[in-house]
Amino acid sequence: MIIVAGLGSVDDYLPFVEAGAGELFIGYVPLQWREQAPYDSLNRREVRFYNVQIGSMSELLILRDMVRDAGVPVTIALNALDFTPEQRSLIVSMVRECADLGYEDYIVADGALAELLCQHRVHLSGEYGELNHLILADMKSMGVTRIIFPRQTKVEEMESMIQRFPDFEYEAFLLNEKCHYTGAYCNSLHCDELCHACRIPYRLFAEEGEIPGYNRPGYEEDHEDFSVPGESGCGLCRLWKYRQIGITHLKLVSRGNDTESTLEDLSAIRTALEILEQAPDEQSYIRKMKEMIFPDGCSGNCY
Amino acid sequence: MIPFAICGGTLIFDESVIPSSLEIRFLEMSPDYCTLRVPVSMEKHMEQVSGVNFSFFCAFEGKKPGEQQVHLKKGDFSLEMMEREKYWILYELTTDHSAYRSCAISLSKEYLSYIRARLSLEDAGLSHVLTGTYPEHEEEFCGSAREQMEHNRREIAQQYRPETWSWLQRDSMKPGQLSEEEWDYEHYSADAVPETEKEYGYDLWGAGLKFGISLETAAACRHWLSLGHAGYIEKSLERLGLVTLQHPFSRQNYEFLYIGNQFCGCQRPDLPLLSEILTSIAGNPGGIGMSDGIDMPDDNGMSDGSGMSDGILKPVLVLAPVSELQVQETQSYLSSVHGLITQLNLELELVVNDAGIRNWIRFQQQQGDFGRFCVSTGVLMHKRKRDARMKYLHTSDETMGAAESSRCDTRGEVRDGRCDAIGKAEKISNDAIGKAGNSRCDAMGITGNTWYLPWYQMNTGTFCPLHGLITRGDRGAYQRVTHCPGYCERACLLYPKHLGMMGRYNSVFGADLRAFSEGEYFRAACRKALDTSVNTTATSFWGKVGKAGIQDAGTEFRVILNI
Repeated sequence: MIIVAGLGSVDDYLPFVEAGAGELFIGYVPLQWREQAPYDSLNRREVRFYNVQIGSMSELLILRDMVRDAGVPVTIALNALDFTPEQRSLIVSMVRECADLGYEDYIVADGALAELLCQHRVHLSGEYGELNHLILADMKSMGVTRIIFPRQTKVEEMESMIQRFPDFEYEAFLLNEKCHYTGAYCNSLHCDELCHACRIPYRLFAEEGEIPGYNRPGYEEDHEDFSVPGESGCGLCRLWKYRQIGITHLKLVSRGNDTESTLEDLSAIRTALEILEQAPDEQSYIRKMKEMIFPDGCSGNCY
Repeated sequence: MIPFAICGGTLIFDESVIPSSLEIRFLEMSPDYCTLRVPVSMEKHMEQVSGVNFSFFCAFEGKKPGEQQVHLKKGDFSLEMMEREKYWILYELTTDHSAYRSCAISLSKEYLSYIRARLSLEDAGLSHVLTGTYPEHEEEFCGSAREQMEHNRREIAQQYRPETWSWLQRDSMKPGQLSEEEWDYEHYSADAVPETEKEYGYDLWGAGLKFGISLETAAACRHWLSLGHAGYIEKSLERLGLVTLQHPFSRQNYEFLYIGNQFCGCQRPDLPLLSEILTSIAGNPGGIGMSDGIDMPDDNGMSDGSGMSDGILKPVLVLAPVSELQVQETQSYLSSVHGLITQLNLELELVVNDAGIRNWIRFQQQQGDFGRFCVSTGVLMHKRKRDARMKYLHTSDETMGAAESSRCDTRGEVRDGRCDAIGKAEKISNDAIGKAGNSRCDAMGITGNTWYLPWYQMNTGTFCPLHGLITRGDRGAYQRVTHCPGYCERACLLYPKHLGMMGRYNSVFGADLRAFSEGEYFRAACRKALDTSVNTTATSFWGKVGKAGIQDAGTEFRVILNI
């Protein structure tokens, strides 16, 4: 299984490759897009005030040279939930430019855009909401090469879909950013000025006496502050099953995270994969993996 | 490194160079200089830089976001190589250009303010600094769901302007028919449909505005059965005080009955309950106790009985997205439903929120089955930014419209010069309203949009956050729920009062109360929705079919109350 990590800066490419990333994905938002669609993002990193996008064409050219030497491919994320027809035209010409530089793989969540880019290698983002195999049938006819399962997909569900359509590559979330809500149905703002909707304080209200936890104030932080890999979401225990059912790529959510944290996450995943190779069965794998990576206990924030 | 989204640039080369320009980002910036890097392959061209464009995009401290361009030509700047690495070369650009200096100072000041605020303030405080309008403290909550509804009711009553609703109550036309003469072009001129009308000879104004009500839980379905259609509508409208206000909505015919929940499959009506509802409709096509709207006397003491509809209550079954392990059961359910409506001699519109189920139904219909179903694509398949806090980011309807730009769901097909019914529904965007809706067609190719009021979806979780919170104290408990006791019928999540949001079922909703109070806002949305249907249809599909196709097509706009 190949580790797929998010890359927020060209400077991190080589360190991430050395740490074990087998594929990297980036966001590229050209000036032309910003000028024509200032309020819309090309991918799911919608903030402006900090470095999550790779930046300019000059950075893409620098990265291309690195990729040529290191051999670890880079995918461009265009997985905003959907676009207008005019925006799709702009994206198609932008992709043509990127493809001329050698970028052939694109992560897409808009079905119409996926169809327009069918001559390239399209990875269907989890943000599309591919919850069942009936959707995959459609994707086959569109020439999609990889399915990225939404975070909330259970292993049994993945297994059922993979069995019906074994020809795709399959990518599953492994570490970080376990969201309360489903990405494909998350229409709220992810901007600099306002917090994510899932962070807005709330109160649970229930008609009195009916449900435990009546009118409990505040919003909970259910997990203590751990500084361990996957504290914001972890699927390391699932690796045995992932391998068994045919997952080919493992997603590490890391764009926007600091370099050190991502290097630690990559190291943890590599360690887990090494243990996986040696383990005789699933229980042994989980036991050994927790001993090595989480000697003081894991976050419990399981996918 | 300066985030490219707030400051980027372009190097302009002499005409002999290919490429003629190169997008660059800046690593450091001060009023006197900045540094940038280019790939090694561009080194040979760096002597031929004839100009540099800077693009500053600032949106700090409550200012309206905007772009500032600065152009330096040859002679305004100097470029010096500072460092050579394996893959790039670092250059320093020095200049004393006044516009550049001014923008660099401004950017530096604002960005440092942002960083300071980010490091020292909580979410609400940071939002207050950056937007200028977001409440600095947002701990004020309503104490209960009832109190939240009461708050919404008061908001509507306070803002309600009856004089802006006269267009919906003209004696000379049927309720819901839009009049161009009274269109307030000064404020709502936006997209002009008349051109389309003139070009295709299509009578847009013949299209109508239709109303319906939504039963989103099993409890609501049972309530509807016990109260009857008119009784249920009256009770629902009064939750927002619309009957007391004698609001025009209380005079409409609620001819559509949406049954089911677009977000949570657990609230799908089981077959016995659905059978009871559909049997009632089939047995009483005029609706259980349905009259031409609520029987509200006008100023002369007469009821407004001139409904648009044919008096037949039209059921619509609504389905949530279907996960892999629920596919078989859902297919079996739909087969049973089709059998039921065949027995009752009904046709049933389905609103689906799942491309897979939509495709499966389409396939069945191509095989000659499911002929009594007509499929529409639901809210979750029409994606656009929807957030109760958008008002804090934008200051006018114009910018709001820009932010909520057109969204068209995926693909459609044109076969033999006529759009596939299901595909065409997908092509219609509900961008007009900016809040919620689905698009639809029927077997005759009628297309349209739907607007759900007041609640519009912001987020939905396939693992129910409410269930997780109640059973495990964790909204993020990734637990597939197949048999739920219906916690959402007795519990909800309340949010800070100023947002008007509520966590219902497995979703978070904002509330569009303005649509009840400002007649012109509502009218503008109706107009734009109809415009969009026709324009999209005309340019994407009917342009291929020809004018005859347009004359055959109808279009409608539904308002469905999900109170």
